[in-house]
Amino acid sequence: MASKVAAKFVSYRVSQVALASHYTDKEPVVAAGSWDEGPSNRIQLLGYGPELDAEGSPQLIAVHRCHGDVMCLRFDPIYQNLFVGLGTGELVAMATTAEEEPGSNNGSGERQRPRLLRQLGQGWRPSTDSFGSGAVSALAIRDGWHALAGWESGRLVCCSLAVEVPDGGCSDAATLRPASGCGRESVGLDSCCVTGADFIDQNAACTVNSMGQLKLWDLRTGLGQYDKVLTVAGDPKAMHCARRHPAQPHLVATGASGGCLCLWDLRQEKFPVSIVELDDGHVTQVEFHPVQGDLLFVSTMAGQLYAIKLSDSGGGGSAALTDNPHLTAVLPASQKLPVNSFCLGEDFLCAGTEDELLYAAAGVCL
Amino acid sequence: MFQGEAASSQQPESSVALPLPTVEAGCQLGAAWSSLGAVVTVFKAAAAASSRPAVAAASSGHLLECRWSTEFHDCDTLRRLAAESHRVFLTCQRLGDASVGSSAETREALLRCSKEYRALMHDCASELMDSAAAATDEPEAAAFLENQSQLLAACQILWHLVEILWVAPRYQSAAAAPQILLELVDWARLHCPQPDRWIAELLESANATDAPELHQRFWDSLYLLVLQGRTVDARNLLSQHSQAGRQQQLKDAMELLNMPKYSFVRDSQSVRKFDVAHCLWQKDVRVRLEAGLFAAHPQLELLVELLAGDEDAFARPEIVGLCDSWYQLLLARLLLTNPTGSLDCLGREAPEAEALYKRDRPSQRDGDGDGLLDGVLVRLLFDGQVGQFLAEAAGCLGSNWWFVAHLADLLHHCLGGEVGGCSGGGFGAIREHFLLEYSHSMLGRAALWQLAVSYLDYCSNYGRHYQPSPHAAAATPQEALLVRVPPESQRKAEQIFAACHARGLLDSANTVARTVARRALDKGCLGNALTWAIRARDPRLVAAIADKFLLGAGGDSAGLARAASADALDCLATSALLSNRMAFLCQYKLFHDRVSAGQLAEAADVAAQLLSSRMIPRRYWLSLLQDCLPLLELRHQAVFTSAQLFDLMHALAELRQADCAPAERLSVVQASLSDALRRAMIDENFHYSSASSSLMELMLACRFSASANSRHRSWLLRRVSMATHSAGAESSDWFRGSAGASSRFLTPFSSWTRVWKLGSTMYSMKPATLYIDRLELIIKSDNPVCMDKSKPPDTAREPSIPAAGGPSIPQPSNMEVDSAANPAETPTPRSGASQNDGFQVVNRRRRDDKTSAGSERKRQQPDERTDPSLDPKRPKEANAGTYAKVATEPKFKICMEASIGMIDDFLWENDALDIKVEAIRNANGSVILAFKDEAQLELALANLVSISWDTCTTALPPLVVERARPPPPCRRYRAFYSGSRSIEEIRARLLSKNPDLPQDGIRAFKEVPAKGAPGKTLYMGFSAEWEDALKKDDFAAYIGAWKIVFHLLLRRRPAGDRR
Repeated sequence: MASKVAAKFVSYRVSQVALASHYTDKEPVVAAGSWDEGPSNRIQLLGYGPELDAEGSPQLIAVHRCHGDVMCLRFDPIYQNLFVGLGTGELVAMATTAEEEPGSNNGSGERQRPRLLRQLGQGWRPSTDSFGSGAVSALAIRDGWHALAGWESGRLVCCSLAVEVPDGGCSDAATLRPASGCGRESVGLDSCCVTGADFIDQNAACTVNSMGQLKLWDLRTGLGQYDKVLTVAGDPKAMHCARRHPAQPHLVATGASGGCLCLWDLRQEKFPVSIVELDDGHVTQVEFHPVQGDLLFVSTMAGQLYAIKLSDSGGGGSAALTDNPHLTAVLPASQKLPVNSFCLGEDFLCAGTEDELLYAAAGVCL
Repeated sequence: MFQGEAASSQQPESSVALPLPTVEAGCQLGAAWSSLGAVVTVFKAAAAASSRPAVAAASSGHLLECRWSTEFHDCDTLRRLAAESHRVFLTCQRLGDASVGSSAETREALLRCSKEYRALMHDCASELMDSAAAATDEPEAAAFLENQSQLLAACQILWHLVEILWVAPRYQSAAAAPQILLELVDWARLHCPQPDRWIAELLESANATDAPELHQRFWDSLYLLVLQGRTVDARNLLSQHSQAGRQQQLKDAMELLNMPKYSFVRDSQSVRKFDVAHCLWQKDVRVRLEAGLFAAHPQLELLVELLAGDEDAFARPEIVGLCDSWYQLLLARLLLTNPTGSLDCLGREAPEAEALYKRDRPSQRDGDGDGLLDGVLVRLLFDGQVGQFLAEAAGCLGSNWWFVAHLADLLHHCLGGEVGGCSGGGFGAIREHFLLEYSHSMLGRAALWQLAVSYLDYCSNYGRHYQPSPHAAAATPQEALLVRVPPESQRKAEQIFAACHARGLLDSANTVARTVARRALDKGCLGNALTWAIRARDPRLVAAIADKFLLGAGGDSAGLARAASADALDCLATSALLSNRMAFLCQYKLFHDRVSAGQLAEAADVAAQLLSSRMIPRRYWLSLLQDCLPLLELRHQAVFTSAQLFDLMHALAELRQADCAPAERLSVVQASLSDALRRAMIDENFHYSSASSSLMELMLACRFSASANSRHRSWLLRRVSMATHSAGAESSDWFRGSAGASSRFLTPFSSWTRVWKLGSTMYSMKPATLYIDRLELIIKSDNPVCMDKSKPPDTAREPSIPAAGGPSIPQPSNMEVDSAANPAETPTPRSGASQNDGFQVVNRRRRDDKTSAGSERKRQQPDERTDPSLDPKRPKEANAGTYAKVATEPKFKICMEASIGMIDDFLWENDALDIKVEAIRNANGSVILAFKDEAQLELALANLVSISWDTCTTALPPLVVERARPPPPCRRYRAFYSGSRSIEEIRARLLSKNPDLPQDGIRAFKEVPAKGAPGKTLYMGFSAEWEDALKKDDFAAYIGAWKIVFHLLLRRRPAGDRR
C-alpha cells in the first residue's frame, strides 16, 4: 500500500499524533504526544525530511513537557496552533510558529513550518463540574479559532482561542474560553463520555460517545440540546472516533468497539449506511484521505492500520462500504499492540502506537 | 530493604536511606504495596496502631514511594531497548509457534532474531555511552548510563557466544565444528580489540621511525594476531619489518603464515581436506622450526612455535599475558593445535587453559573482575550447560531480567526442551520463570503494562492465572495484573478492557469494567458508569446506577422525567434487562418518548406494562400514574384499554393499601382513572366473560371509585352487576360488601326492596341498584316478526302505564321536582326530551294488550315506512336530531327520557307481562331503573330482551346493551346486523316469513340515530339461535339456569351505507 514505511522508536507510548498541515507533505511536521508516562509526559514536534528512512529522520524540532496524558492533539489548519487535550481535563493551546502573535497569519498566505512549542496562556477547563470533567476525550478544530472539545464526563464545550495582547505586547496572554459566537449555549452535556467529535460544517458538529450514539449538534442553537441522534441497532457498542468526509459533509465515518466501522449518512433518520466489522480490536481512529475521498483509513486496537476503498454504491452519489471491503494493511504485520492514533496528509501518513513506535509512510494514495 | 527511586538497580545489596523527615527513633513505620509490583509506599504510622494504612498515613502526612528496578523507567534508551526487543520477541514467538527448532528456515530466522537482539544491544550500549558522555553536569546520571552501557556490552558478548554455540543452525553438524571454532575465535577477537589498537599505534609510530619492530607492541601484536587466527594480518604486519625483504627468516616466517583457512561446506569431505592441508602445513612449520631456521631470532621463533601448535609456547608467560581471558587462550590453542576437533574439546581443555591463565594472575579468583565475563559464564557455555549459564547470568545481573528472559526464550525456540543443565521442569520452565520476572520488573512503571502483559501471553503455565508454583511466586499473572493497572482515563480503561477480552480473561474484564463503573459512579458520571456496568454484566451495579438515576429523580414526577431524559438509556437494548430497575428506567423513558412522539396508545401500553409487571419500586408508582393523567383525561380518545386501566387500578389499590402516598394525589389519579375506565369500556363494547379476574378488576374499579365522581361509580357499579351476573355466585358476596359500602348512593331508593336483579345469583342482594346514565329498554314481543308492525305510534308516547294487577308504585317526591323543573313538559317525556334536564322519575309500563299491539303494529307498518326516523332515504341530519320518533315504534316499547334528551328504551320479550319499571334520574345525573318488587323484577328480567342507553357524554356514540343467551365457549356471539343488505331487505324478509328465503339470523332490528354522532345509524338485531331460545315458553325458568350476558356492542353505520 504505502510505498515506503519508516518506523522510529520514540521511547514513550504515543497517544496522539497530529500532522501540522496537509500541505507540507514533502517535509511534514508531526506532533506526537505521550501518555501514561507520569511526569515525563511530553509532546514532541518531529520533522520528517523528503527521505523518510534517512539517518536522523525524523528530526526532533521541539519538545514540551506536559503534566498530564496527552489525550487529544489537533493542529488548526490555518494558524498551525496546536490544541492539546490533557488527561487532567485541561485544554491547552500552543503556538508552533514564529514569535508572532498566535493566530496571526503573516499575510503572504504561506504557512510557516512549525518549529517550536510554546504554551499560550493558561490551560482551560470547564469550571462548572462539581465532580471534575475527567480527561479531555475528543477535540475538533474548525477554522483556526474554534475548537469543539468533549470531556469524559460528557461535557461538551465550544472554545475559541482569544488573544488578549496586553500593553507589553506579550502574546502569551492568549487564552481559551467558551466561544461567544458559537450559538446560544457553548457548553453542553452529553450523557456519557464523548469519545470523538468533528465539525460537519460551519454550523453543525457531530460527536460520538461511549454509549454508541452519534449525535448531531446545531451550533446555532447551541450545545444545550442535540439535533439528532443516530445509533446502531442492538446492544450499545462504544464508539471511539468520528470523522466526516472531506467533500461530502453529510458522510461521517465512526469507529466503535469490536472493530465495528460505520459509515453514516446524516441525511438519514437513524441508522448507518453501512457497517463493517474489521477484526476483534476496537477502532481507534478513522480518517478520510484529504483529497481522495473514497479512501478511508482505519486504525485498530489490534495493531493494524487499514486503507479501505469505498464504493459508490451509496445512494445520492455518496460513498459506501461494501460488505467485505478489501483491507489494505499499511503497517507491517509485526505490529501487534494498538495503533493509538494516526494523521494523514495527501501523501503522508504518520501513526503512533502503544509500543512506542512512530510510523511514517509515504505514498499512501492507492 | 528499600531502594529509593534515584538508586539504580546496580547495587541491589546496598541499603538506601529513606528521607522521611519526621521519623525519629522508635517511631513506627508502615508500608503498603502498590497495586502493581516494584513499588512500596512507606509512611510513618500513627502512635495508635491502625490496621488501615491509609488512615495511618493520613495521620502522619508523609508518604514515600519507593521504587526499584527502575532502569527502564527513566532512561529513554533502555525504554527503546524494551520496546524494540519486544517486537523481536514477538517475531520469535511466531517462529516458535510454527515449529520448535525443526526446519532450517526457522533456525535461520531465529538466528536473524538473535542478531537483531545483539544489534539492538550494541546500538543501545553505544547510545548510552554517548548519553553518558553528554551528561557531564550530572555525574551520577553519567555513571549510571555508563554502567548500563557496559552491562549491555557484556551481555552482547555473552549473547554472541550463545548465538555461535547454540543458535546457529549448523550446531549439530560435525562439519560445523571447525567453522564454529573459527567463529569463536572471531568472537574473541571482536570483543578483544587490543591488537588493532596496538597496530594503529604502531603504524603511526612507524611513520616516525623506519623500524616498527622496535616498537614494544610489534611482536605482541604479531602474537595476538596469530592467536586470533588472523595470519594474513600477521603477515602484513611482519612485512612492515624493516628487514622483511632482506632476512630469509622473515621471508620464511611470512611464507609459513599462509595458514590454510577452513571454509564451511556442509559435508565431512571438506573437513578431511582441511585437516590434511592443515597437517601438511603444520608439518612444514615444524620441519623448519626443528631445522633451527629461526633459532637466531627468538621472537620470530616464538611466533613460529605458536604456528606449529607447540604447547609450551602457549604456556609462555608473554603469550598468556597477552590474552585478556582464559578462553581467548583456549580458543587460540585449539585453533592452532586441533582446528578440526569437536566442540567437546572446549569443555575438556577449558580447565587447563584456565589454570594456565590464572597461573600468571594469582590475585584473580572466580567472581572477580568483570562480573559477567569473568569466565564462569563462558565456562558453563563451553561445558554445554546452558541452563546453568542462564541461572548464573540471572544471578549476576540482579534485577535486570531483560537479558536472561530474551535469551532463554530464544534458546527455547532454538533447542526446545533438550538442553543440558536444566533441572526440574526443563528449559521451558526456566524460560517462563525469567519471562515472568521480566514482565514483573516492568510493572514499576505504569507505562509498560502493555509490554508486561504481552510477555505474560507467552508464559503458558503461570502467565494467565494464579497457579501454586515456586517459580511464579514473585510474578503477577495477567488476570491479576490487568485488574491492577489503574484506569485513569476512559481510553486507558478501554485498552485494559480490550486487553482482557483479547486474552479471554472475561472475569478480569468484568472486574476492570466494574472498577471503572464504580469510579464513574462515585464521580456522578452516571452515563459512563452505566456503560461500564453493562460491560461488566453486573446486575447489581446496573441496579445501583439505576437507583442513582432515580435518586436524582427524587421520586417525584419531574425528577423522574429528568432522569429519563438521559439519552444514555436510549440504546441499552437488551442490556437494560440486566436489572429490573434499569429496565423500568428504560421503559419509563420509552413511555415519555412515546408520549412526546404522539404515540399515545403505545405509551399507554408501556405504562400499563410497567405497573403490571411490578418492576418499579413502589415509590415511583404514583409518579408514573400521575404521568399518565394527561393520557387518561383525553376526552376525544380512549388511550388506555380497559385491561390496561385495570392494571393501573391495581397499582393504585396497592398504593392505597400500603398507605405510602398522599391521599389527595391518589384521589386525583383515581378520579381520572375511573372516568377513563368508563370511557374505555364504552369504547370497547366491554364484554364480560365469566372470567372472574376481569370481574374482580371491575369490582376493584368500583370500590376505588368510591371517592370519585359518583356518576362514574354508578356506571362502574352497573358494570359490576352485569359482570357478577355473568360470573356467578362466587363473587356476589364481595359485590354485596361493596354495594353495602357504597350504600349512601342507594339511600334514596332503599325503600325499594329490590330495585334490580341480574339473574338468579343476585336474589339475595338487597338493596341493589343499577345506576344507568341513560337507559333504553326495548320491550320485545314474543312474536318478533310482528314486533315492528304492531307498534302503534301513540302507545309509546304514554309515559307510564301502570300495571293493572301490579303493586302500585309510590310516586316519589321527586316527581314533583321533575314536574317543577319542567313545567312546560307534557306527560310524554319524549316530546320534551332535550329540555328534560334535572331530576325526574319516569314510570314506564308496557301496554298489556298483546293482540291489539300486534294488530296495531301490523297496521302501522306502512306508516312506519314513512316514519322519517326509520326512513333509510332520509338525510342523516334529519335522523340525528329526531330520536323522539322512536317512540312511535312498537307500542310496548317504553321510552324514557334522560338528561340529555335521548330516549331510553326497554325491550321486553313478552309484552303480555305486566312489568312496572321506573327509571329515576338521580341528582347526580344518573338514571336508576327501578322495579317495585321482586316479582316485577323477575318478570322483567325474564323478559328483558334488550336495554339500550346512551351514555352520559354526548360526545360518545350511543351504546346498545343486550341481554343475550351466553354463547357457547370459544365462540363470540354476534347479535348485530353485519350483512350488506339494506334494512328494507332485511325487514322484507322478516315480514315475508318465507322459509325459502335465506335467513341470516337477523330477526329484529332497530335504527337508533345517535345524537352525539349525527347521521350514524345503529342497527340492532338478534341472532336466530338465541331467538329460538327466547321463543320458549319456559324462558323464565330457562334463563334461571343460564347466566345472562350483556353484550355491549357498538355499531356504527357500516362502511358504504350512505343512508
